[in-house]
Amino acid sequence: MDFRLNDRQQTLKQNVARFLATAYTPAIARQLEHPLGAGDQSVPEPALHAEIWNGLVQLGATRLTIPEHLGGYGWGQTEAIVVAEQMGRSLYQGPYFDTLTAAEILLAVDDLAEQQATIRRIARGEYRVSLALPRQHHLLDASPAVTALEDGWSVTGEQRFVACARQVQALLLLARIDDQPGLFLIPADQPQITIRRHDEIGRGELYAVSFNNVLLPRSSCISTGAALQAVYESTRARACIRHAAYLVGLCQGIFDITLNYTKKRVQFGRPIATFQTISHRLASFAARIDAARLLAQQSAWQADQHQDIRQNAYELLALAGELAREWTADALQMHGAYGLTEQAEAQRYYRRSAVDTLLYGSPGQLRAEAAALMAV
Amino acid sequence: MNFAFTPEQEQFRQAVRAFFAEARVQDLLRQVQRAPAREEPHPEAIYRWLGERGWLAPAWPAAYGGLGKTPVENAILAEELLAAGVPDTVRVNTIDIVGSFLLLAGTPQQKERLLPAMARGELIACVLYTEPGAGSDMSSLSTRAERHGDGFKLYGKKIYSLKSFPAQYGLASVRTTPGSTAHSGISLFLVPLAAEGVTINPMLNMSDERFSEVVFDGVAVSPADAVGPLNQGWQLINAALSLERTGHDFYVKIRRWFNLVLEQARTTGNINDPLIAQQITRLRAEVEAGRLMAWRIIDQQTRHEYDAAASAMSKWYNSELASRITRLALDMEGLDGVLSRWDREAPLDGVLEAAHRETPGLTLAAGTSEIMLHIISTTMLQASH
Repeated sequence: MDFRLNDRQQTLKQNVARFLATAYTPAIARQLEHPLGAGDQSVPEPALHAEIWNGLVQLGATRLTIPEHLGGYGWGQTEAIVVAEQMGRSLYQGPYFDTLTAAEILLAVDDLAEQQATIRRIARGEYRVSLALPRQHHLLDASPAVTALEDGWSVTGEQRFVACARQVQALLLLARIDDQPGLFLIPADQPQITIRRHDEIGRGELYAVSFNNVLLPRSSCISTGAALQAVYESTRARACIRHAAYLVGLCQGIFDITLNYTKKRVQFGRPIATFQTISHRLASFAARIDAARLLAQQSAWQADQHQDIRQNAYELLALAGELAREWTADALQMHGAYGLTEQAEAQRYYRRSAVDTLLYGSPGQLRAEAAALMAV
Repeated sequence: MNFAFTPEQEQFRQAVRAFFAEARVQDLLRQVQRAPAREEPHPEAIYRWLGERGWLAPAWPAAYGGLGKTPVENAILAEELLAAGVPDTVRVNTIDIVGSFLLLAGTPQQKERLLPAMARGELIACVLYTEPGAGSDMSSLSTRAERHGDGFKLYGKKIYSLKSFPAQYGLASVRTTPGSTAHSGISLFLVPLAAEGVTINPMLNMSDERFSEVVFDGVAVSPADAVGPLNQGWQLINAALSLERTGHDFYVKIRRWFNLVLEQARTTGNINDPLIAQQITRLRAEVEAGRLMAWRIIDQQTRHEYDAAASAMSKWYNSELASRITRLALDMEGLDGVLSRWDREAPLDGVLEAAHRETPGLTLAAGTSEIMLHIISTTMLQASH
């Protein structure tokens, strides 16, 4: 037993934190946010996004959980959550997490030479992927329908809330083949695919992707049926752990900002942080954030021990999600009306947490999934 | 990050668990469970059997009756002991608090005289800090030691002490410098409770463990009964508190209650009720997080690292979970949940009803939640100055 980060994890944490502190400053993050109400007219800043991506690649972030024989480091979730937490602190928005998850899905399906080449490209940072699939557990609700043609497939339908769809080379699409789920890796840039940006509270990178009779070669289908279900569940559980770590980072990010603010803000002749009504709430959230962090670390470690981590992962993400919502709202309260202004960082964390606590299902839905695993 | 116990630690846990499953232990536990209300039988034989193996204080050196192991084995013992339903207040007071205090600050003579008896389960100690006018504000105590020849005579009153009745010694904070106030002039004495001038009166409360009022009326103590240097008591108490505060003693309670709630939910089928299942899955994650907060402190202890804020977080987090677990138990059972163990229809022999009477004390004992939040927040506010 040793609760500390090991040297590798400590170095990774420092490197990612140092990189984000310069390459993903609040000013840059704001530049990447889409204006409120801009809808589909606002497009991502390609040069800025590319710079951030290249920086992550240079740090080795794209190689973390990919095995060494495929060009990765062969590390585990205990390393991945270190990166995720630092990204959450900065409210990082980009194709990193989906790409990592896509690589894990590709690793888990049948070992085709074609996918090995793709995984190698992901490790090198040359290939970004968005997940065009429902992150919640109802696989068959996946809307696009696939029809088998003589020499391939045809896809029609829409997948909503796809992250960073305009920054990726490929989509990992989940679609229905009759009443069976099927997984397809397809190029994102095709005339029959239309992408519409959602205008949402996070002002981020969420898109509705429409497939209008997209023709796919037979080889684009990489998994189907029960095998896919199993791959999807275990991969999604790991993604839930990483996302929980991201939310822990998000909470810590706004915690540090709020602590600083309340120490500087003077009312009634004293910094407001010295009032117990503020300081005790700060202390209680510090403890709860720490608790969520420890739980995320243990869950990641359990994943690396090849345990069935589904129930723990869902419960963890529900806990982190509820905490993020409650704490970001309380942080706004501690900021007073200043926190609501566009200059304030506090409202950015509040808005982002609304999105990020729903991405894999609401806390209640996640707990229902966890409960289903222990039903009698 | 490594959350695994070593194979030796796992073996230790299995051996301890097997011991608690033995018929002689279970028989005694049934007697404790069936005792009339307001009686608190101390299952001394169980403590002695543990002591025979060196298990009662496994982290202590062998010379003092332990096994020379680490705080990890001590915590494993604590978990298995409470999971088996053995009352643990005597162990926490004697081993984790007073015994650790002696290890930290006692003279070689005090250690040799007292620690082996404690580790054998023969000697019980209690804690005598709180006074009518000194609760969270421990430094406002007024119990005094007056010079009397080579020694002192103690005058004053300590209250809300647990398990003073079976105890032979009480660790008491007293003023040794006349006229001193606040943090200066405080000393600690290990007071023999059978001594002349000591009166112990019960203060019944709503839980199954009574408080005691311990009155000192000219109790004679010698300098050899002092623990640590005279007038350094305040610093010692704080040093000892930061050593002993893991939150683990609170965690073991909530783990036991949560596991019973879960087991009961499965037995009754309540677990299939979505509203109950939501609460159970929420608490399951929180109890596990509480476990990790406590074990992080124990992990730090093995390296002699101390983090007052992290310790306070663990105590706060674990103790605050307690009442949420028992409230869920009440919701699940409905009115059956309020039946005490002296009603033959009580679910789970009334363990969770008793727990509901115990939980309000947990956010008060060993530093209130407000004091824990104070420690956390002052650490945070000072850190970045």
